[in-house]
Amino acid sequence: MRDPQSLPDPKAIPDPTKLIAENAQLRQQVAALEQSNRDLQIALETTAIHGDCIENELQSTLSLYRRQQRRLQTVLRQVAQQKRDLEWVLQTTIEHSTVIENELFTANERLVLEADRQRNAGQKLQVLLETITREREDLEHVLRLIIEHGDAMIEQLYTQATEAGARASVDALTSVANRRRFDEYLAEQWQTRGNRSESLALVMVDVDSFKPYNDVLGHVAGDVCLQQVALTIAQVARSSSDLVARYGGEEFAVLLPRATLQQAELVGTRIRQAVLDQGLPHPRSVVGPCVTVSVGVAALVPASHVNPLVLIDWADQALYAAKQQGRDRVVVADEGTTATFTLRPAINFG
Amino acid sequence: MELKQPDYSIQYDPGTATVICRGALRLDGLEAYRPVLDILENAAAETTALTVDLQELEFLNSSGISMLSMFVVRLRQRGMAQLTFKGSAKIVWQTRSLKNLQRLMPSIALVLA
Repeated sequence: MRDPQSLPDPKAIPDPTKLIAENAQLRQQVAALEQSNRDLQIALETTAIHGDCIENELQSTLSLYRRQQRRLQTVLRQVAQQKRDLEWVLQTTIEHSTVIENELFTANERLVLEADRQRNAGQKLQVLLETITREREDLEHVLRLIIEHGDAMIEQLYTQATEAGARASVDALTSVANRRRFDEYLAEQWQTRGNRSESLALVMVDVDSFKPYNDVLGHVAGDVCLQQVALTIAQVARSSSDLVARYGGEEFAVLLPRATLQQAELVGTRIRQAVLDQGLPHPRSVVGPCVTVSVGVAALVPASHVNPLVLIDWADQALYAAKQQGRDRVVVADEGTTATFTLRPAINFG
Repeated sequence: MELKQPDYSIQYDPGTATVICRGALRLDGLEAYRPVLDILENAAAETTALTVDLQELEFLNSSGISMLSMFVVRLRQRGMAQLTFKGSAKIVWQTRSLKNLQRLMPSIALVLA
């Protein structure tokens, strides 16, 4: 578009056609310029509208942003507060943890000490337990030892007492019962048989011419002779209830519970014969070449008011009679052989 | 070191390191056995190999065997090197009780003649 100040002077225009053409051209140019102006106007308006829109949008966005900013600031404040809280909590926790840690450390130290103490105590207890166990075992051993020792001592004493009792009852030379045992047994049987009204028999045996035997052959041979006679009598005795005893010197007694006079006489006869059968040489016997015995037999039913010595006395008198009648024989006590006959002889008893 | 009573005697022979007990020991209670135990322990303190000869000790009551047990246990605790008991096979209590003492101290040597 041409500036109006620059238009040519009409006096100077040489050609109207040209002017018209130029005018038309100018008009076209104006039209173009006006169109361009309108376009620009439209563009400007559009741009303005668009700018408004953009501005509005920007405003909206800005508002949104501002709201968001406010929310964010709020959130930020909250976060900051939370952060401070957390920091406080963290600090508190750290401080607390430190305290706890210290406490835990202290507690751990105490625990370690306690564990050591417990371990030491345990070891001491173990040692103590072992000691106590050993002492208990020792005590058990000692207790068992004392008990077994007591048993052994009792057995030893019992054996010694039994042996002493046997020695007290047995004749040391002949091993048959001694006089003391005979007296005890006579007293027992006297009472027992008397209570039961049973007979009690006694056989007295005396070695004939024993003093000359001793004088000639010596006391050792005399002892052997007595042992042999005692053994022979013991073999003849009937049962375990019969008692063979050395009554004194060369005299033996056989007590026969429940035996009648006849049974006792039979025992006496067997004894005499058995001794004779031994054939023990007797160089100074008034009877014969061998050792012989004289036998006196008595039997009665004991009575509690009568002294048991009566039975011995009877048997002894019978023995004396046997000696008087020539030795090596059996004499039964009866009215003819006893000086004092105070009890009923058990001749017909049983 | 010696104890001599009508019923018994306890004698220590340092030459053979032997305590010899004879007779019948029937003392009443452990306290009464204290002098006997003292002789045994003093003898044990003088030697590393002690012999206790009981061959002529016919009788020993329960307090006596308790005293011997106590003596053996103490020697074991002390670590006595060698302890020998000499006894008699003819005396019943020695054949049993002396063997039992070995339970308390297995190293005890036992000679029964």
